Amino acid sequence: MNARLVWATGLIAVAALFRNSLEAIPLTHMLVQLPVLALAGALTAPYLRFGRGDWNRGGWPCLLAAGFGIAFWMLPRSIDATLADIRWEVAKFLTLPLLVGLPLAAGYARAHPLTRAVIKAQTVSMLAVMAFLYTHAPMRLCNAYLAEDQYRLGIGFLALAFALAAAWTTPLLFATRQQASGRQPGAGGSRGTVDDSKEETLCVQ
Amino acid sequence: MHPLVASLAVLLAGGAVLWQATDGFAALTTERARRLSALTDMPAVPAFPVETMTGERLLLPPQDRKATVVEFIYTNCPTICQAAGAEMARLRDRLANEPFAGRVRLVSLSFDPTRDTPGQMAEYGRWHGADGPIWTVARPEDDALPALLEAYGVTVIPDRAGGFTHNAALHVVSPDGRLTAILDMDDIDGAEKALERALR
Repeated sequence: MNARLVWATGLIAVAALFRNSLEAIPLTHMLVQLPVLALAGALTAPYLRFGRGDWNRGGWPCLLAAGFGIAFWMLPRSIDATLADIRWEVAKFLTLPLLVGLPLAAGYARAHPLTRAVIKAQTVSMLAVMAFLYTHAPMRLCNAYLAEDQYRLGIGFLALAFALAAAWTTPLLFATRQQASGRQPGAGGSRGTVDDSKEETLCVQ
Repeated sequence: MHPLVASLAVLLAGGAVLWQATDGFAALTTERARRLSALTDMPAVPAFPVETMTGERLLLPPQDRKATVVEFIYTNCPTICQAAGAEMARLRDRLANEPFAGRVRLVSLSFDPTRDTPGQMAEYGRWHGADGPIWTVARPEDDALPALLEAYGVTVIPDRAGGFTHNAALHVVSPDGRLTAILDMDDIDGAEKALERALR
């Protein structure tokens, strides 16, 4: 069996087996279980050869789909529903890999470096907004979680925002102009083919 | 397919799903959603047998053509429920006047029925001024608690200090047994308006 599939299955199994402890507090529910499920889907993208047709040129349809999936699972009422109704829980385990992780990987792989940069900037700023919201909301946003845990989730969002900002900017400190121009868009293959490499584009002009 | 067509299809489908999932972007939280549903759908709540602080057994909502305001409590609650009790007392005073006199019943319902015995509930009632006929304290009978909480849309979770946290609110039930409004505990004016509507 393909190594990627083994990993994906393993991740979903972890998310399911440790379901109760992961869902006990929103911090691990939102920032561990949900990303693990999405990662499982992302790992299968190259194996499934998903999103290689012309319809996904530039990765836009896939990135939009992933965006909607993320927005849906950021709704506090969606999170509440998974804890109250097993059908919602099953939907979470199906849609996060298939409608968030898989299209995110398939879209990002074909996205223009500028698009990627915008996505990264958006991710960091969105996490910062979430951090503010969850640390400052005057009421509980999820009926199933305590206010103090909601605050901790906010701190978690903030930590993640800083971590991603650091991870994405630190390489720029060591990037030279030469490296950057060597990876200009257009060099990465023609229409309809996919640059499968996971390498990040360091500098965008 | 052209990527633009595919993108537009995703935009439409995703927008429709989000619209559906948020009641037209009106409710992002469960609490907002259930308050909206009470106002627009007015769901019927089943009648549950309860035992009051005087040991009397009755149905909630009562089948006596009165409107009912239900709040959820547990008598050991240290802080918030004490404030809630004070709000209920304010509401009781308002409801003594026309057009509400004799037409509305207030019920503080315990979601901790094992600890909240009639004696314990009577103590809580005395403390806050629950008179009995207009405002009574009650607990669900038998194993009705989960179904009752579900029917009213109340989620109770332990608070790590031996107590509970729950989405506290005033639940207005019309004389024909429909949940017609859910309001903040201190929204006494809103409760009056909702009762006028429920009694119409």
